[in-house]
Amino acid sequence: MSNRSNRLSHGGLIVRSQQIRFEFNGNNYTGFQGDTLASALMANGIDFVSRSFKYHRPRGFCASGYADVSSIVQIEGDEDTPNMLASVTPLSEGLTARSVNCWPSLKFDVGTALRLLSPIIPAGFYYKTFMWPHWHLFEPLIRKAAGFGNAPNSIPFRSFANSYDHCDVLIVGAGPSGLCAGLAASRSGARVILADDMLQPGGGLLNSSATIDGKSGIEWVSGVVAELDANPTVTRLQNATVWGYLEGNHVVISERSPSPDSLLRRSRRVWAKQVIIATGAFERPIVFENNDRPGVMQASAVSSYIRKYAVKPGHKAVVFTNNNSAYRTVTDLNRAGISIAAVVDVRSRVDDHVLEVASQATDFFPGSIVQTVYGKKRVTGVGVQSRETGRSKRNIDCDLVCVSGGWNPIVHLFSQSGGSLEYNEQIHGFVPAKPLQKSLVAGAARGSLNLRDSIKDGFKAGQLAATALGLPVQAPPSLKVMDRFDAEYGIEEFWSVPLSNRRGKAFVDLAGDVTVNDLHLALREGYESIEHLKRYTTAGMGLDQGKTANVTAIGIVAKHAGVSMAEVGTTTFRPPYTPVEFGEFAGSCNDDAVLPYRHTPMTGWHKSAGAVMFEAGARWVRPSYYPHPGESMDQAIQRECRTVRQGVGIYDGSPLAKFAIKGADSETLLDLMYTNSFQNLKIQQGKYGVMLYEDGRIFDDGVTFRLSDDEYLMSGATGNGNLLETRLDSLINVERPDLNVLFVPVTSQWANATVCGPLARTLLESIQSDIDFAADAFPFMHMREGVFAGMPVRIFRVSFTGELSFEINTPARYGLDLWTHLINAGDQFDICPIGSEANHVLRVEKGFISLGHEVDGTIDPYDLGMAWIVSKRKSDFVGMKAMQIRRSSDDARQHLIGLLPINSSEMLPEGAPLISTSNSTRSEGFVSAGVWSPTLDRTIALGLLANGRERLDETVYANANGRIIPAIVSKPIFYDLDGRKMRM
Amino acid sequence: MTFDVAIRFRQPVALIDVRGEPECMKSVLMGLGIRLPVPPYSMLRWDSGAVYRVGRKWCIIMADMSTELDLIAELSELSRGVSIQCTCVTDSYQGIELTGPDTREVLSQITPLNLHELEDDCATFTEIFGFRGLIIRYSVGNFAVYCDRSYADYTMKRMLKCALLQNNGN
Repeated sequence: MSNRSNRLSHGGLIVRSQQIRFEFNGNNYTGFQGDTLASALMANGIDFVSRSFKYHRPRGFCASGYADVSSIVQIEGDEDTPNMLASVTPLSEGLTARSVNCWPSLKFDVGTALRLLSPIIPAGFYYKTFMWPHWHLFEPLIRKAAGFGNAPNSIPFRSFANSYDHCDVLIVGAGPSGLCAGLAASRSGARVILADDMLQPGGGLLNSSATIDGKSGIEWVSGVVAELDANPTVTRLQNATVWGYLEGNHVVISERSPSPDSLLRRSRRVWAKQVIIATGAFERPIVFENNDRPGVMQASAVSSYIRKYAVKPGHKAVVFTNNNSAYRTVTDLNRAGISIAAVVDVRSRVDDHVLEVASQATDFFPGSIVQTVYGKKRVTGVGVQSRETGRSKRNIDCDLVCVSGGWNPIVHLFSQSGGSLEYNEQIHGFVPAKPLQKSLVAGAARGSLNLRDSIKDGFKAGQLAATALGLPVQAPPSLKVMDRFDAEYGIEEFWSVPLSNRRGKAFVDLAGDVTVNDLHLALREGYESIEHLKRYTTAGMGLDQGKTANVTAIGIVAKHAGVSMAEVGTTTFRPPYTPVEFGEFAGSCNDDAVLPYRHTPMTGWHKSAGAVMFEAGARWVRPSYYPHPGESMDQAIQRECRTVRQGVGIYDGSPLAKFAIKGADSETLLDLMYTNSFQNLKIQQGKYGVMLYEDGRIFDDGVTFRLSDDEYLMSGATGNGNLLETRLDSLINVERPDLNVLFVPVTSQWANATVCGPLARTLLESIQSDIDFAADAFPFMHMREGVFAGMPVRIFRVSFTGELSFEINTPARYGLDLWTHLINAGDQFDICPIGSEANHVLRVEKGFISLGHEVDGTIDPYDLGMAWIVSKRKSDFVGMKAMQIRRSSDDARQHLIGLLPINSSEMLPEGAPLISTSNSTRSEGFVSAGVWSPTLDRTIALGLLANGRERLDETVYANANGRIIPAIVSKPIFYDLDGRKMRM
Repeated sequence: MTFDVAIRFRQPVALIDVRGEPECMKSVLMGLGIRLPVPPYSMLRWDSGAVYRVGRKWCIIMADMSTELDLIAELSELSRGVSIQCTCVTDSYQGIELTGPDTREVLSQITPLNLHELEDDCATFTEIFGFRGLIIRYSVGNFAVYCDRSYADYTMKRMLKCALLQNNGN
């Protein structure tokens, strides 16, 4: 076939006036608009396209559309993509593709040496080998050898998108039944999405000589499409594969090259009220020796290439079938001027009209089989023999074998939706039985294998869907369908031809190189369940996903085991039906927007001040520290800490979670949420509290202020904002709907600039305000509202650093002004902004607990030495019972302690286990936070240690990945023991 | 080629979050001379703004910024002793406007909301890019999205990417 043009002089759906240049394996070719890469290659005489997965055997085009899992190529250039099927890749100007699974070239491939090893690499060989000395020794080589092509290492020029949609009726497939379903549903006024995975609508009609109402299939399709496109309630998606049918009638569609042009792929998630599956059927192969040679094709694919693309797949053909549908191809071959050397039919007796068609061939062999295929890189002939006796052997020269083993309804989506399948003896295939979701199946997908029934089915499904939606339906039109081949399907069950020798290879799954011998081996080894057998042999896995291999494998297994197909059953189909690119999942969520981030009004200022930013929980991006030029991270942190201890610092506390709570039962709500009591809190006064999970362990801590008689402002940890909101919502709306209380999250409403340090008051007093900052006028744990520097503020006296501290809150619109005002005014006091790292050091010095460090989801207030915060008078709070039960039965608790390394410059790493002797292997706790304290000029740490409070002054050891660091157990507070500084 | 849509931050408007039993909301709003929109997700306009019913017990008042302080004061007075919570959330949200024939194409990438059922002058809180946001439809091709202020920069960046107006990872 090589070096010859196989393009027919007329016909096809290609646009001959639009020539397209493309490149394959470094050679330049031309094709036409409307070609696929496969049809264009075939037209240029290229029939050997890639090498197979395991044995590196030559592979060509075995089918058309998504069933052709052997013509796999790598698309190169701007849109470098592996795993592409040449049969569905539209030809475009400048397209560059290359073969896969071959090195250094397609013709001279080193990997072909694997064929010599084929006797020792049968199915499941990797489960039995590569275990000694260990798998990881072989893993790199196996991984390099596996897969088709290479993952792209550049970002495609065009973009990915993913979107959501909703419709009344989603129709999958725009063949005759899908189009009719679309007509019926849209005429009822339903909002319809019609998705089809081919480049043109029409399905099998495009390959057919049938007429509908006197029009050719193509003309009829054009008319239907025109009506659908004119209807604004219809969205028609072409070149769009529905690859997943999930719960809730939620389907996922992969659109290739959708509008606008700058989109490469779009993943569309659709919720449909009704789904109509009109996916058609795949022709299945018959398995015989060397059935993978380039030139062995499904009969319908041969018709498709002739009729749609005006390409001759060969010059001398043999047709091998067990049913009547292949006789369409005989006619098409004849029409295309391809010599028909023989028709080989496994059936001994065929109908008269079939006999008439068979007369177009030179020879007709009823009751016979193609035993083997000759040729290496292309079919050169076949060996034919009697099916019953194995005699009358005859070799026939040919370069094309057109095979039809019957038709498999495409039930993938129906199975994915949870619908059950049943074996149909008439068509020898699995068909949909009972749906689990709101889905209907029409046409060949439900076993209606002739055009007349498919059309009827489509209209009926469209009407049923409309009726289910309460929409009016019209009577279906009476269409006159003329199809010479619409008579009896006439299939005789036949799956595979016995091998003439043990070393012969007959492929069940071309994508995974799974042979009949592999199936037999698996059965001999006890893999009786089809699900186990599938996994062991990989038949129907990978690219094939059950499109061509599954039913054939089940047939072979049933025959071998002597049971019925129904008894063997089928495997479960799972998404994706076709490969999906990662970019489709990401859509616009990529690059610098791959994760959401949250900014405060001051974020820009922090960045321009050179702060090193980090994600601090709940997606907030916060300053970690503000290095001066030439300063290391440690130096910056220590400087910031010293400034707060000796002068005045400022930090952005805006991300702190905040909730406005209002209602007559607010106190009851707070008492339920916190372990301590919030009764009798005075207006403008605040209280620190701890909340527990339902299991009695600490969930969060924070401060709540009373704003008025029935209004409170609750704060919580930055990272807990969403959880706190969920808890409030659950308590108010689910558990205690009787409470007269409401809440609104107001975290982002307020910007917060916290001024801390011994000079904090002096700084605030230097700025114009109606608030009296004097200690006796504005005591610790109180709040004031007023105007500060011309801005409305709420100021809270709360301290996280252990220093005199004012949390100044202003509506976010003023946040940046407030911040810059404080920075400018603080200049005379050498104010410095501090980041989260310095905050962390300061709170460790003070022994304040922190979420994710000391509060690790295992401890309760008693463990922290905070028995005082658990009210003894309250009858209930979240987690109370669970905490009481656990404390009564679990006495080996870990306590919060301080740790002073004996070597005062040695850092205790966070997370290091604590052990009681230097050679102990039993962990008795862990280091929760270790820092260099600039205040104490030494290292310090906090930790949780079994019975820690009873072990003060004891030496324990931290195991830092094998390095044993001794430390003295101390009280968990290193600075300002009586808290005088923060109360001043 | 990009989607035909213009995306820009909206000028601030006064936003008041009103929650409570419908009767309570009704009586308080009456005090302002505003009726409570009845159908879910509907909107009623008044002199200087609009009220959006975004839940059975939840409304959002949107008004001209110049009226914000008066509105807060009046609502504070009217809601005294009533089981209703009126909270100024002007600074909690950032509005983003989407206009143009392809607005729906962009919105469909932002939210799983059934946009076919969101009619003119209707609004609802829903998921945008995985977090909460308020979507208002004024007319075909004219929408506004209100997201948490802290997410505004991210939301704008993603929207521009969705509209192919900004480098989409290329």
